[in-house]
Amino acid sequence: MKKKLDASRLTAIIFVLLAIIYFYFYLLTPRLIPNFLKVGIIRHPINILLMGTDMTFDSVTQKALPKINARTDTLALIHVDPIRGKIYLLSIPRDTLADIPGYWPTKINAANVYGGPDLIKQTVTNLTGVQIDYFLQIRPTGLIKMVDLIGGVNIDVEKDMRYVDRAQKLDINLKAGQQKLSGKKAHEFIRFRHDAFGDIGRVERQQKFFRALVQSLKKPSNIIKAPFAIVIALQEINTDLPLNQTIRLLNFSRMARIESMLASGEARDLPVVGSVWIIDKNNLKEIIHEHF
Amino acid sequence: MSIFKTMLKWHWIEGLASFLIAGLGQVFLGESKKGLIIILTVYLATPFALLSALAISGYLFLPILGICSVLIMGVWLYSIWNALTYRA
Repeated sequence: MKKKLDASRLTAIIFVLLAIIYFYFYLLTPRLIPNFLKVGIIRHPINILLMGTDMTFDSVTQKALPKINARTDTLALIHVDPIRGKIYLLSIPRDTLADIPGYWPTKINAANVYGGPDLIKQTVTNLTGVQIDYFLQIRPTGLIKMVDLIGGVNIDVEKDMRYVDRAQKLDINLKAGQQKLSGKKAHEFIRFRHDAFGDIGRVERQQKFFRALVQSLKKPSNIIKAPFAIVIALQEINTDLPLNQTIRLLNFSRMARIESMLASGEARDLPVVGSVWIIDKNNLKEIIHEHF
Repeated sequence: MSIFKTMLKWHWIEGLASFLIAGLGQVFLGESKKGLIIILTVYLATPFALLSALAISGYLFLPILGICSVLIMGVWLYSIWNALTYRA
């Protein structure tokens, strides 16, 4: 006997169909889902200080000392805006001259060595006027593991890069061209700064890498790897961001558009401190006002 | 040769339907109840479990994510295989 298609049955079928459609959109093209229907993401705007630290090696054993507060080679202020569906990334060059509370004005990358994440958060707040909610400190090994886990990142390396620094155990050897970089090669790409553009060129490469990394994270195949990514994050990332917020942030990054920026400034040589980057305060204010 | 003979008897359309939407092949084959259970498991129950776990705690979310990933993949593969090799 053929069953009648009554209203409740029809409603159930429509509901199930909508659930199936939503499932595929969420998995494959999450950006097309309207904001109010997005689930499992950050709900309120937050500011995060992203720090990439270099490694300190024991002078006797030559082994890495991951627990030491190292200099911040990468420093970026991230504004996560779920309302606009965007992530704004303001890079702060490591040689930026900053007033570190309790110390003489010096390069901002020293703040983490002097007083850890709290001091660098305070220093960046003083510099930008932005209240920082959380910090996220990633070690080079964490970055390498993460990139390897997602199967590498596609990047157009703009030129051949060659640099060796035995003290830092750094051996950069990259050829120009579009390529998929492994974790180790990606680390070399974002560390390189030995050209005419120095640290500013490196900051631009770091922004390029960040965009490529988020692009790779969006691949549906990488969703299956999410549990492993979270385990790496727990081991290699030092943060005060609660775990459920980290998961929501990772998920949101699949759906968000990334805008990266850098305040203009000029390079100067100062006595004692050496070569520094002086940020154009007016330009910085404009960027903060517009995006943060 | 016998394996090819067996494969010729498989329900390829229904298998493809189950590949695209887990459980759909079963619905096509008249196994509506089984198909519906698969659809509800993959598209409603597991996502709901994941979101509930995330709402409670990030540490609860991790094992639930592992279990749900394995469950979805398992049920999906079963749905495809079951549709392909279906015998009335």
